[in-house]
Amino acid sequence: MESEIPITMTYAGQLAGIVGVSEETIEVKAGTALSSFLRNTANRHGERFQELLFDDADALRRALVISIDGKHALEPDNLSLTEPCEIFIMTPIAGG
Amino acid sequence: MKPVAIVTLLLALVSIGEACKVPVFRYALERWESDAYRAVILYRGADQKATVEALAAPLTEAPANLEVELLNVEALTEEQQWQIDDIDAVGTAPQLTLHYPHEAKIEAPLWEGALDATSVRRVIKSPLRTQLVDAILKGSSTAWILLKCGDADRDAAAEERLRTLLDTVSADLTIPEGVVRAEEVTAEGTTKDGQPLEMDDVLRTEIPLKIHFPIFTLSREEPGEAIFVDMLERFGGQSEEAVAIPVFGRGRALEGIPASALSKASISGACDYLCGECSCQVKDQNPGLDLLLAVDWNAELEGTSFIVEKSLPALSGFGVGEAAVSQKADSPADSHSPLPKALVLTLGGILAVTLLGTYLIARR
Repeated sequence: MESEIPITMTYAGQLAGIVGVSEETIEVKAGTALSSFLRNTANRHGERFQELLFDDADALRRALVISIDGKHALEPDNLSLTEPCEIFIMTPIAGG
Repeated sequence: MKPVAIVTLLLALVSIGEACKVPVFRYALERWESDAYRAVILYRGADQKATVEALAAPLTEAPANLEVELLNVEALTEEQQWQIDDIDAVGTAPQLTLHYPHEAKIEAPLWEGALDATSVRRVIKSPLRTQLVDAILKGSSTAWILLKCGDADRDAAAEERLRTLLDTVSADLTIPEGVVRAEEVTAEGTTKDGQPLEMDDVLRTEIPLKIHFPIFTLSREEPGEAIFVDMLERFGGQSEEAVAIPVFGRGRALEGIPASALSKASISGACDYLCGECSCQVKDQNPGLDLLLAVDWNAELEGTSFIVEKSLPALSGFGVGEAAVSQKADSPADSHSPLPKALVLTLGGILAVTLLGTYLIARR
């Protein structure tokens, strides 16, 4: 059975405003793809959160800063979550 | 390995190879033009035109990333009438409405009010913006604005936390290897030991390249900063907490980090992006939004700009022929310079995919 690991999400600006807190911890199965994890997280937080992270083709937006344990993830689509970590996301400033 | 996977891998390798060595903060300063804000001034009657033009002159004449539109509501075209919400509300006093750059797709104006000498001054200038520009032109990697919440104790704690984190992160960060400084380039456009250069890796100005993060605190109650504070609302300034906003390049700002999210992970994440290799040179595919600043960046950078003319070697083997490409990096903001590395890698990728396809077809 795959173990669950805690992922600490830290949000800036718009995402913090949508979620209502700047930090939350989410349990996820070890080995989950980062993009899949972010998709599930976005689904939990609603349409505006989804729009900020994913484009019309349902791909992660390029103009995101996603860092894992303080390191900028250059290719987030290729990453999996294998250990507990802190993910920090900054989104493009837009809309409304 | 499946053919599709091989093709994907080849294309991924091409994509990875395009990162340039210049840090994002410096690439933005030297190569990304600022997006323009838009000021719409509405007045009633042709007899006001001269007065309004005189009042608006500091806006129209400032070397700022600002487009100014003066409209007499009594002489609007039909299209203009559709674009203005409440024409009847425009009284005898002229009105000023300030909008974010259209690239941000933010419809709501960031500020509306009377057009007068005070509002005009506050739109384009404020003491803190002057300090930000000075810091960037002196080589600061990123200038951090700490927009205070108004509670002295919480603001002091946030500032101390931000300073501690930035000091810690700075100690771990380094400038990417492979950045080429002007003094390392010969007149022929090679390194001093004769090695060819990728022009994307060469700094275009002689501004010091360093890891340095000054902090500028900003009160929301400072009258001279009123419009700037409104401008920062979209960067997280609506938060009830203090907010740390990183500013780099030509006044490009990222989303603000609320005090409760100031951590090693968040500050390190932002700084690692800003000081890391510029993996995507296309401005619109990077986060952030430009602030409105009264600076002629090209003129400011011109005095320190580095000029090199380099003839690139012919690209043989890809059907390009023997023609050499002349490449000149004479403008700090020239965003149309040829990308030899990207070109070669792209052509290489296309060739590899073509060969692979030919091979697969031949196997059938």
